[in-house]
Amino acid sequence: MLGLGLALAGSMLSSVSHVILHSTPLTALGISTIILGAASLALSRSQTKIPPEASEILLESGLNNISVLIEELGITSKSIYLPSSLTDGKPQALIPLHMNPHPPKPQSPLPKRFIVKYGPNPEDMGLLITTPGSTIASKSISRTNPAPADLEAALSSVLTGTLDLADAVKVSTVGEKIIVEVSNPRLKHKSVQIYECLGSPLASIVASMIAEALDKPVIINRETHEKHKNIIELKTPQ
Amino acid sequence: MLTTAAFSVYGQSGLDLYVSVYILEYFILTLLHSPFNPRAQKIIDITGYVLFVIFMIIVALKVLEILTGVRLL
Repeated sequence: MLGLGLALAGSMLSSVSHVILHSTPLTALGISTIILGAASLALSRSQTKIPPEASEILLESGLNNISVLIEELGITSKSIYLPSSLTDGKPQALIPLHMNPHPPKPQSPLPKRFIVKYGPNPEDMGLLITTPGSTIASKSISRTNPAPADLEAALSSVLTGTLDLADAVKVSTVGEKIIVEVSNPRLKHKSVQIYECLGSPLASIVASMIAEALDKPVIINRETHEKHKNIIELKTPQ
Repeated sequence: MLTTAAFSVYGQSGLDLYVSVYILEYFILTLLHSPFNPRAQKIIDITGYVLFVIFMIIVALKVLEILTGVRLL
């Protein structure tokens, strides 16, 4: 509404100033108001259709259901984020049912089931679940160069553009580890058991996207929460 | 607004100069604030294309003006 108003007022001002007043500064002011109107119109369209509170309720209820299940099964192992090439269609998280010093690294695509067998041993069983990052990663990430700059561009486009969950994203690599710094994250961190297993929703989104981008399984090694920054350390299982 | 005030104080009377600077400012500001939400990005892109065409017309007219020596703007 404001955008249309500005554009209309700008076009009237510029035409009146140009035709009647013959004033270049006022005509220019009218033109600048039209440009501002277009920018304002674009920004008003960036508002979400679903209220953020409703999205938060949906996210929390989904995570609570997974949390109850994981607590009931007594699972304490960390999940492995798999790219879509190792699952059936979209990136998902594999939660091994048994603790293992070496995280599993499935070699062939896992079946589209909730309980899956990922290795030759009888204890190689796990839960294959969809995480908050699964949908967005499959929609917006394509295989990319593992260079930090390319990963950073891909993550920024989703986290600061599409989802508007943070102000900035920085990616660096230290050896085999990928360190992602998320500035001013909007999602608050809570200390619940599901986050120990899957990571926080933000880390989960980052891990899914990096797994998809690199086409490799990824584990959230560590997550640090500072005042205006989340540092997520990821690694690929050896 | 500041651009308009500054140019009018310095007595600039060419509308092409004002418009070119507005267009440059538009591109710089949208680049600095990108990435946008996809729905917003669509309008930003369309506006950008329109402004780019206007900018190119201004440049072409200026080039013609230099080549022919006839004042077009």
